[in-house]
Amino acid sequence: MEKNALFRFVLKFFPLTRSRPVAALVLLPLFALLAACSSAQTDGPGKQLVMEDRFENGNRNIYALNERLDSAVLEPAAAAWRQTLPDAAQRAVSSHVSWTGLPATAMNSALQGKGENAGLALVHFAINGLTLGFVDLLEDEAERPQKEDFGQTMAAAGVPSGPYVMVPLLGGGTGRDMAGRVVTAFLDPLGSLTGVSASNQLVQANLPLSAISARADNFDLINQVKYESLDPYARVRSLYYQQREALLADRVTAANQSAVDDSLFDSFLNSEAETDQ
Amino acid sequence: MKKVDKRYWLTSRLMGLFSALLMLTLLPAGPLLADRTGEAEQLVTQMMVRAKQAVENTALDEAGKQAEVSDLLTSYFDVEGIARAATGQYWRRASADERSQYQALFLEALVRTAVSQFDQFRGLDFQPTASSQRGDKMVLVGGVISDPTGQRPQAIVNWRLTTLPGQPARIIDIEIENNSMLMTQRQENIAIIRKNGGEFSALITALRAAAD
Repeated sequence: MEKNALFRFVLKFFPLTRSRPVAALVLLPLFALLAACSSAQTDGPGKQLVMEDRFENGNRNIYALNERLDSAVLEPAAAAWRQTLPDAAQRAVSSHVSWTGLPATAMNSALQGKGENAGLALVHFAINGLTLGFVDLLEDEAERPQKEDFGQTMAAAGVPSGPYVMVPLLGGGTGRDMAGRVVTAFLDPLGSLTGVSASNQLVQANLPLSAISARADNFDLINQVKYESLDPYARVRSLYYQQREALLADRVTAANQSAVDDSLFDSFLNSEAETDQ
Repeated sequence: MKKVDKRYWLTSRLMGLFSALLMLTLLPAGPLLADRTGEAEQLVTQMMVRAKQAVENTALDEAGKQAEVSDLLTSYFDVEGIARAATGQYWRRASADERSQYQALFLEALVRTAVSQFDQFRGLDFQPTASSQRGDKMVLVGGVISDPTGQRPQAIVNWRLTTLPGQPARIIDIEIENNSMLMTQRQENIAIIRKNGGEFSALITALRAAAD
């Protein structure tokens, strides 16, 4: 209840008119509506994230478009990136992109009452800020901030996840997470923290860079999904839900914690129960 | 005096019995079950040592890699069980012929995927970190795969094994950074079957097309 109040308070008083208002005004209600359309049983705080893809046919068409865009632009750019930039430079850019996301993590951690993670994110942001994040000066620290975004904050506040939606260029996610992405871009936590009014220009300039960097970082994995999967769309969706569930459960770096329910393996333990899901 | 001794004898015996029962209830359930975490951890470590030897062997040609991977899969993994679980409820609907065709193609696909990634595993080390019993028939072996040169980030890996009574431990799933291989394959297979009106044969067709 307390978290809900805090969530509403921040939504009301945060400087909402800072950037890209038109896109946000169009996209946010759309994704919020999608999330609200979700049945109450799908999930919520402490509940399992349930896959729901009621727009599968349309989503598959958009996925096919995204895949063509990837083949035409992102994949060749990432391949050139890997070939021309030394490994150290690639790591530096990747580190910088992660650094620009730390204010959002700090803000969302605070909204969710995760004070320690918020503090860690701020410390990493401040210290690595000496190099604009290009060098991770705290690389050897065992404690690292865990990514927290506005989608996770909404999940913690009890907002239902909504159906899976595939968006041109942005990729796939639940309605709640897509709304979260819009809100994060809209609130501009980087600008709020640094007081730099041009931070949005920095973030916008970073967008193509971060897209290429992320594609290059996961080059083999994405190509494997794209070219070797029986059904790339279903695989991407499955990986997304598993990753998202782990994030929502704060299970990202925990060893010896299973990502799946033991009941998935009933068919191995009992030859009569061949699988029931 | 004799009466007092008898009473004392009876009381001490009852106290002893009560203490034993109390001890039994206070004991954690774990030790009473066959703890096979050690066996599971040993199997995973042994498999990873063999896998490392194979990937470090630069003299291996494509056929050699296939033979190595195939041997590793059949020696350490419950491939039949994985194939079955990866089709969910649709396994029940498949005919005997469809099941055997699918299982053969599934193993082929696993070998093909592993061989295509063979070189990516070169230079990586595996270190088990923690293992735990999951119920009385499964063990989760947690570990870290790391690159000693620091070029690639380390990855947290969980191996799930069955430890059925009277049978050797077998690997049934690998979870890398919270992504379960079995869950991913299962959701992909089910999506293919559903997209084709629930026809199990569609999955066989897709596997055959991927092999060509």
